[in-house]
Amino acid sequence: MNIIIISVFILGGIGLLSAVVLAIASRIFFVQTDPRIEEIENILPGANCAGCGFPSCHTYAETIVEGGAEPNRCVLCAAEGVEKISSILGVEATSAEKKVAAIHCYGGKTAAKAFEYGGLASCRAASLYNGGDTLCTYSCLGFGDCVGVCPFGALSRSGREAPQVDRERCTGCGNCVRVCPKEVISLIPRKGKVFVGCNSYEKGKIVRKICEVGCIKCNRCIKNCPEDALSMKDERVCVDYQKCTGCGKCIEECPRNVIIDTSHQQEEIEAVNQ
Amino acid sequence: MEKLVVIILSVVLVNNFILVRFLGLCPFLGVSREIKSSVSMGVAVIFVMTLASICTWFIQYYLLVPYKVEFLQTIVFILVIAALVQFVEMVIQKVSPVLQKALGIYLPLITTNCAVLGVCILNIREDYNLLETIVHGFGAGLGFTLAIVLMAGIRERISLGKVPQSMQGFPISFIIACLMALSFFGFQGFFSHS
Repeated sequence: MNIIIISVFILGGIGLLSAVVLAIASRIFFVQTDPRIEEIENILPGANCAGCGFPSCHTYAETIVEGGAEPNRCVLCAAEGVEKISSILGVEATSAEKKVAAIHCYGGKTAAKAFEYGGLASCRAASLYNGGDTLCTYSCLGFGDCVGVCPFGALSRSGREAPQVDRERCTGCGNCVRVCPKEVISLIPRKGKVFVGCNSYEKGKIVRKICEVGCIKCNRCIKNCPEDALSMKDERVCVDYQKCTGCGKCIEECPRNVIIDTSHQQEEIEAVNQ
Repeated sequence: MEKLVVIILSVVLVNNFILVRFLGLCPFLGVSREIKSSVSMGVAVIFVMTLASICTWFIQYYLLVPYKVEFLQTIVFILVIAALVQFVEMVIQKVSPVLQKALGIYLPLITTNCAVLGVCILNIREDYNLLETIVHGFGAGLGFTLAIVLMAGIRERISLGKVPQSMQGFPISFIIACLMALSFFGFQGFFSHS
């Protein structure tokens, strides 16, 4: 009988003592955290996609409160979300332009191979061997590192063709842009209707030799654009999305179908998904 | 002195907590994806194991033995370790935010870890004095760190390699753990006691 009472007292005593010590400690060692951090974190999507440049939504919220970052850097937050965050901080809301990833190459399958690559199935690994196994130095290698890194499952691929971007899912976080060793992917404005599907800086003559679908720099798109939105920069066609109205004239003019209609591509992806 | 060296070598290599005694397998598989986080986890374990060993040693010999209630050992130790880890976490949060960022999320994970409880109970079972207890606790943490960092190094390589689909993730990790345990089995019999 005695032993039961003793054990109850000892166990109860230790429990009580720890409780008291912890309660006192929580008072003494109380750390003041800014309640705004939690409020902002609740508005943020919590996807931890790192599109804002911070490793997690929590660190981004902390940095916003400290004044180290603008509230509009979240690629997932809608305009209302940005407004809410801004009102918590008491600053004026400015929304950033929504972007979407574009892969500027048809890649892999159609580009001729320089050598047989039998190593690790990863673009980053393959690009270490003389820049990859494709003859074109600027081509997509097609192992799909970007597909693996996308937190939203927006990229998909078949075989060794260049991956395709599902614009419905893509949030423009830029993880694929950062992982691509060949710098084939870039972020374009979401409202953009066209983008150039060739990443090559080579002269037209060389592209014609090594790639069936590369841009041969014939300049027909540039000459025929009614808005003057296209230009040649460093032997590469660039689209000025401020000027582009999406009339589709360049798509019609291009002899090699290098200029890609984003809405058409989206239809294709949706057809495949179904 | 000689005994302390034997204790530390035996607990790191011969009786490694993870690979020979199979204690603390959950963090071993859970936090071994990257070397960086596994090192943080290891440091947190070393810290908690040493501290818990000291505390439970005092509890055992100044509370449980005098009142003849050694059968309460397990439950009292769990209680004390959990409270201790909570307390230490609060102190660290206040005193050193840098340390808190490094250990922060790992400390609560170890609160009710079997390896921590295991080291405390083994201290008592082996009749260690206070100094030996501290060395044993520290060594156990060291052995845990060694195992988890080795595992993380291998898993980082494996994540790049071609693994058959049905073996990806945990299955291949268990096989790695199994092979590591087999190789550590080679240390058996180095020291006759402990």
